[in-house]
Amino acid sequence: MRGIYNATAGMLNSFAELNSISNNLANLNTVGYKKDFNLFKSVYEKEIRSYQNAQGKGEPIGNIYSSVVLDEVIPNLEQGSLIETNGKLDFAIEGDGFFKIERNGNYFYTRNGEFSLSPENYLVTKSGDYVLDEENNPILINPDNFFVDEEGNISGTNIRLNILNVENLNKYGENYFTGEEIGQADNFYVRQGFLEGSNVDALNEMIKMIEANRKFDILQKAVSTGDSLNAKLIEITSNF
Amino acid sequence: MLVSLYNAATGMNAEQRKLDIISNNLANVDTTGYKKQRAEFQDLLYSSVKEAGTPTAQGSTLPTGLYVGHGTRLAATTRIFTLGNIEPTDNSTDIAIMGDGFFQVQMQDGSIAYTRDGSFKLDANGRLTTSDGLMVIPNIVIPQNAVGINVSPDGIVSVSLGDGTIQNVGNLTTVRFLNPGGLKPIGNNLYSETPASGNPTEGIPGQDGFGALQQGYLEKSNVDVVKEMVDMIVAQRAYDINSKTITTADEMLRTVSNVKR
Repeated sequence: MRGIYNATAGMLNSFAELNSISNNLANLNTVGYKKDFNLFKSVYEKEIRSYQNAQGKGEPIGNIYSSVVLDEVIPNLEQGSLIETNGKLDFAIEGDGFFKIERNGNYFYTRNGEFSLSPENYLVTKSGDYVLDEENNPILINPDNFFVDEEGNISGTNIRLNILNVENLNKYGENYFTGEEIGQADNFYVRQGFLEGSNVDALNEMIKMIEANRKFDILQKAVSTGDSLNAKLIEITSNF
Repeated sequence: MLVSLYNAATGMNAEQRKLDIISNNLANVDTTGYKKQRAEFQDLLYSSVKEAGTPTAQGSTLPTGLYVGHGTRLAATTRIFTLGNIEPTDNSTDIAIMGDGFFQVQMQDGSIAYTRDGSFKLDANGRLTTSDGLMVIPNIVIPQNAVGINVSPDGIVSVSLGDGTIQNVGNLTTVRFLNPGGLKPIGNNLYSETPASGNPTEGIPGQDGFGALQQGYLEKSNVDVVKEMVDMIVAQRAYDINSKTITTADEMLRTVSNVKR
């Protein structure tokens, strides 16, 4: 019976895999989107023993895992391609780091530099949240003369965009991540007038999708086979 | 049922909306003063199964979490106010703004709307109006005996009369917005102000960052056909791919129903 449950757990994992793939594909055109991949782990390790031992305990001959479960979803931070827009309020980060964003005292991190201007002339995201400078203050800009150099310095002022390295990333949605800051990023260029496209590789995702689909088929066969074996067993034993 | 089915549906939906925007840009490729729009996508909220940074039984913390994505959505359409092509028309009441700024026009209900379409006309009383007959603000009245109209780059409108004298009949001003992307399009090449656009600042064309006026020219749309076509192909392919996801999810569900014989 164990084989049936193993195969079923695998089938559920194929669903989880397809969830990530479908989300990646749905965000093929989302600026600053980072593709996810799933990590699975085997659980319920059980020692198996031989039955030739005099003490009746048997010699350990190895381990058997009774299930595989989805353990982690990890965003792949590979650089997306830069798209030229010529927009004064469009930014791409080439290299490491995230823009720091504030919403009602909560901090978020994003690679989507598709910014906008608030009615009070602050630099905000498309969700209306403040983009922060190095002092964690909202950035008041002069819309007539707003230039940002490669290091993120805003011309005509002594303020600089806060570009941070972040770890323990979790996706929040609206192109935002949550996570823990581990200091200023130093290996990056800020590109004004560009946006970073999604880093989803459609071909790769399609192949992963076929793989998940086929794996699912095979595991279904395993369930059917396990079921046939049980049927056979019942048939044989019922003849006694 | 499968989250993937809905994910793919959000993807198809968003790509379709993107195509709507592209088709509107392409439809307006010859519209005077039209400013192209761009679709902006956001990923939808994630449901968190395990948060990154939560303590584990071993005393360490999880470096990454486990979350499930729920697809994408169209978050905003941004209007891109780059300058369109400036084309000569040899018509003295066609005026282009060479840079930032909008003309003001009086709507029927008395409110003020803003436009970059400077293909003005004269009505029966000699007043300067838009193609739809809306009065330009400040009001400019051209006398009946005028034989020529001249608009200077800084907005001074003068007419030459039949006897050779030049008469000043008013000054055209333009307005600027802090965030023109926040203006609300109301059709007919007109925009109205919103809290996001900020209040209009009136000024003299050609000064303080306002674009100079150019008489006898019209600003065409800033739609770049090649770019729009490429975007259209990208949107179509993304749509295709998302529909493949639906097929796959459907196949997997069919497989499930085959488990029970």
